[in-house]
Amino acid sequence: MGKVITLTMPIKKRYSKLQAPQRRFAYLALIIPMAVLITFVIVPTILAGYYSLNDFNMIKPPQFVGLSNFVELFSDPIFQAALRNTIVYMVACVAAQLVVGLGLAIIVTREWLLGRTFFRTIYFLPVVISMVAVSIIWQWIFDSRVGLINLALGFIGIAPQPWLSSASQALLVIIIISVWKFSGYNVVIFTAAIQNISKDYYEAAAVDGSNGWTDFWFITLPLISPTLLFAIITSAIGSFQVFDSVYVITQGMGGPNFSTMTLLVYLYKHAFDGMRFGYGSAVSIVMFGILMILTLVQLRIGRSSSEAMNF
Amino acid sequence: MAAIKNSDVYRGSTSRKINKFLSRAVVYVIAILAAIIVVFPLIWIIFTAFKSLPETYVWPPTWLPVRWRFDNIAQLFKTIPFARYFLNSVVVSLPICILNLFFCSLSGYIFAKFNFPGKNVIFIAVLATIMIPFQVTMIPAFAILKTFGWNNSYLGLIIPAMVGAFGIFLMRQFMMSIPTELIEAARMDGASEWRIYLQLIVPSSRHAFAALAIFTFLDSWNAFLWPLIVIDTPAMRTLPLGLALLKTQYISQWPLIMMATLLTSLPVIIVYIIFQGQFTRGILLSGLKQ
Repeated sequence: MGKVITLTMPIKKRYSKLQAPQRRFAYLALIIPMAVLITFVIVPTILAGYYSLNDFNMIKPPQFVGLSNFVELFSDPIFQAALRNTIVYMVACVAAQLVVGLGLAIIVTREWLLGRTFFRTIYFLPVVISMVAVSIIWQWIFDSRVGLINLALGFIGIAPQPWLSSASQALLVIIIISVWKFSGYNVVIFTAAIQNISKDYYEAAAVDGSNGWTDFWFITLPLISPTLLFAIITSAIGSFQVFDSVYVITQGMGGPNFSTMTLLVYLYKHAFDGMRFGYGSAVSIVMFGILMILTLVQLRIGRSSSEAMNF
Repeated sequence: MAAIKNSDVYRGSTSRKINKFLSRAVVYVIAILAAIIVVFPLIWIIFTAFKSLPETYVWPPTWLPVRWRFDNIAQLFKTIPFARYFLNSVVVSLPICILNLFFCSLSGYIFAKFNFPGKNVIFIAVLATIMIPFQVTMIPAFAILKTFGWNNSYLGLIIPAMVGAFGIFLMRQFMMSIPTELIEAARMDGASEWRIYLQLIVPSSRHAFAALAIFTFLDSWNAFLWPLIVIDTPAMRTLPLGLALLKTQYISQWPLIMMATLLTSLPVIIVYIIFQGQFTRGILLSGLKQ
């Protein structure tokens, strides 16, 4: 009781003996926040594991069924499609958001560019708009009959495409939407990372005859690589949980022909439309496992990245 | 090296200037093109929102509406309880923001500046909850909520979102940098713990408050999945929920749908344009939000 040493504030002796009123204040202040976190995060996490081993419809009490939810899950071809689509979506989004974000960040950090702040403000705009609204806007633009994309394609002599009504193109549209919506986020964090690089590096390199491209490859890229890695992991985790766009555009069906079915939409459909909350929990546990791996990678690189970003 | 550079300079400053001019022109073109790609869809919804229904099916599409139909706004309010959705969003988002600011800052302060038995265990538990994805907790959280009778209610939307581990962590990181001597001095002067929190800690953490307020507002204003789970009746729908269900109900009524989309997005866009500096600063301050 006397010697409590925190991880973050070592050797602060005056705090080792805290007076009773202060201790009371600390406990009092934490009661409500901790009650909320326990009730709506910690207990549910444990319950999710329990439900995944049960049949549960929220009307009758859960019935233990062992691992049969998981067995059913992995043998369901629609689940397999959802897993495949989610991974394709995640990889494509991460790559595209990275390239677009980096490219635009390089552009808005050119000191001779007029209106740098204006451009950065514009690029970030889609991040703040609700995904439901964004999905509806793009569904209208990708409309196969009167959409602007097909109009633009017509100008360069390409026949109208079915887009969202085609099983081979629908997922691509969902990917494009998320690149439009989220790349601006990367622009902001990459811009900050690039601006943190000391000018001395570029000046020294210029003496050695470096130009724009060699500057980029040998100075900018290596020095912001921790930020890039971090952005890759965070956007991977975010894309893995894609829901809103698919749900809004396909009315929760993940169509056409399950070509846009993703894990979270699959989970929602079975749990909340099908009232199979045990089965849905099993899906969530599988997703948790995959996300856990991504999060561990994030934690490993998190330290070096926050040091390098120096926020 | 020096020789190469010299010969470069010698070879002609005009060609170098042209090169530099061209590469800068390319950068400008890309920057402007990207800005158009971002802004154009938003302008397009404005045009569509004021067209008549038949006009949206003309091929090739007209750009500006042939006639601006401002009665489309009235039409929207007649078709769906849009004002009610808006009110619901405000009634849910506002308390979520205020409660988060209060409880996250208070807990963050405690974790940053107090020592007491069990602190580390509690703090690690809080950190661990950051890593638990929403889809794992949403089914049991809904089951728990139902036993409280909070389904299809404002409470069901507000209470689970009223405090978050991310916010606590953000606040704690920020408050670590407040000099402990200041707090000590205030205590010496006989200030109560609440007074120290309200008059010293809160004012010195303005930037963290601004960042957290922005994130919480965006998250709660744009939330879709949780309201979709909790809310059953049309009168309780928040804006995103009402918008999504309007789209399913009035398939292909694009002027109506676009008017609703426009009016839903406009408040957020206005808030963003006014506070845009705070937005970027908030993101950078929080490190990276997952």
